Amino acid sequence: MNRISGSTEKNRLVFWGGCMVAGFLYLGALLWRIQIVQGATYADDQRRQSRRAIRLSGIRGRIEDCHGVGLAVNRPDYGLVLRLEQYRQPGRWSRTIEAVGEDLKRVAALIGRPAEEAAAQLTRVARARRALPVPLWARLTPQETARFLEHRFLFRGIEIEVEPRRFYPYGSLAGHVIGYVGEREWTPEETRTFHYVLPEMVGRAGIERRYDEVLRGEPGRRVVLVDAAGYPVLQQERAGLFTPSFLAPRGGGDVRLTLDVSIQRLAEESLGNARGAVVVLDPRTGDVLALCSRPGFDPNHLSKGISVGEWQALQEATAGRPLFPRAIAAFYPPGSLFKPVVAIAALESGDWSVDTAVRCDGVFERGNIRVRCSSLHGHGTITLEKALEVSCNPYFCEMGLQMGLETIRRMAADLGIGRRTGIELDGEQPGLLPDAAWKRRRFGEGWWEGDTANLSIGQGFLGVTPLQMAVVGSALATGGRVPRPRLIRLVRRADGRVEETPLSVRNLGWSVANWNAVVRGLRRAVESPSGTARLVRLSTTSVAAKTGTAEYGAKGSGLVYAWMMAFAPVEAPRVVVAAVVEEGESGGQTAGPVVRRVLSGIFRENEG
Amino acid sequence: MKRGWQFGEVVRNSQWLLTGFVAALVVIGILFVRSASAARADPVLQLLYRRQLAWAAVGFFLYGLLAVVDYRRWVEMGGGLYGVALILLVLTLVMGRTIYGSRRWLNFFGFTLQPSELAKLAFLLVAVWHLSLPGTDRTRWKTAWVVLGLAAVPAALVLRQPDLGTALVFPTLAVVLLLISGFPWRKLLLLGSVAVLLILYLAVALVGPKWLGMGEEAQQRVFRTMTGMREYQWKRLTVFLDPSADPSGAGYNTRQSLLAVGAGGWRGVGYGAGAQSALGYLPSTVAPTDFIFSVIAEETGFLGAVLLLLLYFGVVGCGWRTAWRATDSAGRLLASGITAMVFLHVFINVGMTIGLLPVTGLPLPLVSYGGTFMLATLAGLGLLQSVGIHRKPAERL
Repeated sequence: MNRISGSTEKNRLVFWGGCMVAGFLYLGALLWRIQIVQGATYADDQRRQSRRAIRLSGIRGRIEDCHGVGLAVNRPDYGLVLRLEQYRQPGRWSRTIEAVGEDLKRVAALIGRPAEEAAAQLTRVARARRALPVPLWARLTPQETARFLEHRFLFRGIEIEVEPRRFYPYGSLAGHVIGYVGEREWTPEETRTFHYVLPEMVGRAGIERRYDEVLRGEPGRRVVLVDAAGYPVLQQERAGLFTPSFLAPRGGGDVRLTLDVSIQRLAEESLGNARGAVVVLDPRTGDVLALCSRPGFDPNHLSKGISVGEWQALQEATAGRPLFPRAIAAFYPPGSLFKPVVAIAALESGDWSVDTAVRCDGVFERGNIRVRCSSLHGHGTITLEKALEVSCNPYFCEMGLQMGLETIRRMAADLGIGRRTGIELDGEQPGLLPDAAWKRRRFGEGWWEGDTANLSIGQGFLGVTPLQMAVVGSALATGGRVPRPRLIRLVRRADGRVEETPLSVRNLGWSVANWNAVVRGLRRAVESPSGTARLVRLSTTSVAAKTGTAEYGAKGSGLVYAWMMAFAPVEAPRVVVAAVVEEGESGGQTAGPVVRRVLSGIFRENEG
Repeated sequence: MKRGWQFGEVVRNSQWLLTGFVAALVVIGILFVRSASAARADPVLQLLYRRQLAWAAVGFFLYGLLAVVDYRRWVEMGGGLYGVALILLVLTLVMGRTIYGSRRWLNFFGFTLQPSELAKLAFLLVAVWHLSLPGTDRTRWKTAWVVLGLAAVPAALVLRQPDLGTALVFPTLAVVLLLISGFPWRKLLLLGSVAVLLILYLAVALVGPKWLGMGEEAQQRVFRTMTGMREYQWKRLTVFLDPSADPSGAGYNTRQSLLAVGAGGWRGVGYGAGAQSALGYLPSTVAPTDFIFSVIAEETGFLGAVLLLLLYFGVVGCGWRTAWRATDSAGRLLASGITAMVFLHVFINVGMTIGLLPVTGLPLPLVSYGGTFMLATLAGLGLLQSVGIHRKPAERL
């Protein structure tokens, strides 16, 4: 018989039973810790690994002209995307890619696009972004879209996706003003709460950039459920696992410009292929009716994303640097366009009268100063109005030297020369209004009388932008009221608030008699048979104008900046035009037809 | 001893509560095998729970059959059953089916058997038979060597499959039997210390072979000869001992299982709504089998998990009571052995899913998908019933 008794076995059973009870209690305690104490943390981790937050891009607002015509809008862009989960194969990744390949080729043949493009996309982005549809081909034509839609039931995982795309209906029209957009680059901070960020456009130039904060929409957010392999799980399949979370993206605000599409088009057409700029202002308000720089560019091309080569071509000097906004950033010597400024400065100083006469022999000589006049034999003894009519150099040299640098400078500065006008665009340049200190700094020598004589006829160191000259023209048209150019009429915020740009006009308080004399001179330049600006004479309305022919380049190279500044109707000016053409012949001959075309277009339209 | 069973005796003495617990566990198992395999795209695999249902039906038949027959007959047949089990294990090594890198399954007229599960029961029977022989002196080392030797043979065969987790069940059950049978404490402690030292040695060899002056080659050799483990298997152990070693690789299942259990919270996410298995984070190969507890814990929460543990506690309690009330040593040892087998599987499996123990691949009795283990467990519990029913020796009836 066994030497071990039943009671020993029972003792051992008690011990073993205790072990088992302890085991169960231990498991229970561990479960308490994992499920109750740390449960929320685990649940969080679990959620995090199975959810992907996608940033949906906001929809950009519109840029429109003063009548509400869209200059920068969004257009639906039809593209084909692939839902990888529909082709998913067990096992190796390459098997899934193979499964896709067949359909890719068929769709490519169907719509007539290269399959390689899409295949490359697939290998490049699909694997790391399985939760997102893979974009295959973008910008489908209506024909391509139609052809796909007819056969769409053949392809289980390839779908049409519509996305808003920035579109500029007028192409290159006002390209420098509107600017363009490009794909946004992200800081880690902006994308921290998202797994995937869809491409979003951001303003890169012009109004698109300056008003990006208004135009850009509110991003949306979509959270998708993904399985262990990273594929999205369809809601229907897994109802109950997950409450979908979707925050729709919202549209941005709109920007309404003061620009008028029809006037802008007139300005651009009038310049044609010439390099130069045309600015049209409403002198009463400073509203920018047209702001045109040539050569220009089509924002549609730039926004699409261009190659490095194309980009460099746009910077190229030989191509006229199309990206350069001449109207606000180029400074030219104003030439004779500056003479009215000298004239009003002289008259307002009180030391020069409307009737002060100067004799012109065709050349102005004093000491070692020698300035030729446009008239070889001279204009004879003339007063201010005639001097403005024929743009007599000796007259203004004499005037300038008698007034002195400071008087001219003060008036020019009051009119905004040498300072940015404050137009709502980036990249505006101040130009240059020189003085003695500047010259000493720049050349290390003093200010001579010759410099003043040169300044009086708008040559020498002086540099102005076409926009500044349009502002000067506005002051001349309105009797000394200097408006701040206003490009933005109003901003409609996404929340419905409307912010109008306030008017800003400085009144220089000119004497009416002085001002009228200058205007008469400018009007004679148009209406007199010997006037320099006689080309812009219109039958429909009265015009006052001044031409300018500023030489540049090597002496005698014959290169000039051809200028003209005009306003109309003279009695109650509504329009000021400033135009400059590079490589012109003379102000009257080259810029004259440009201004004439703009003015005749505006006034025929308005009167007819 | 050769008396047939009597209906009245069976009804009077059988533990209906135990049958209730077992049935509840089997039903829970089928429900959650269904939930855990719903994610599989393969429609055949989606019907896994039906196969489990079929196995359960066969298992309950076995359960009843074994319950009504006097357990002493089975103990007497222990040697023969043990022999059959060893033959099956050898056959498995020779012509078994290889799944996931180990050769564990044997084809039998169209369905597959996992002989190692049957061997556990056969080992219990033969060990109980030996220990309860009148001539066995349970205080002597010799007894321990015999019992451990009986465990070592199937353990070695299972190790070659390789399946370390199952192999370790044999010596552990042997030690439990020695403990219950009254093997002296001091000798047990000595055995235990040797086992602990061995495990320690392996653990150190795994984590820091340099401390033992082992190169990588020596390390590989030690593991191949001493544990029969493939590289992926001891990598898994490395990760358990040092979780930072490879969180996305070998530690992946443990991590995902913990997320599932933790995400369950108090009340769980609801039946069929467990994201971890549905979305495949808990691989569909292990969710209905080794990691079924994670699925249950996620879907029913702490309350469900504890309820499940209580059901096991009930089974184990019934088993312990049976052992306590058994009138002979064979019955007591057999009941204890079967109870220990259930307890060890529950403890190791749950411990593995909550990161307490390394991933060894021991299933959760009655609940994990797996036909042979279902049969073996139900057969074992049938024997347990039989111990209760046939408490009084047949002669005295």
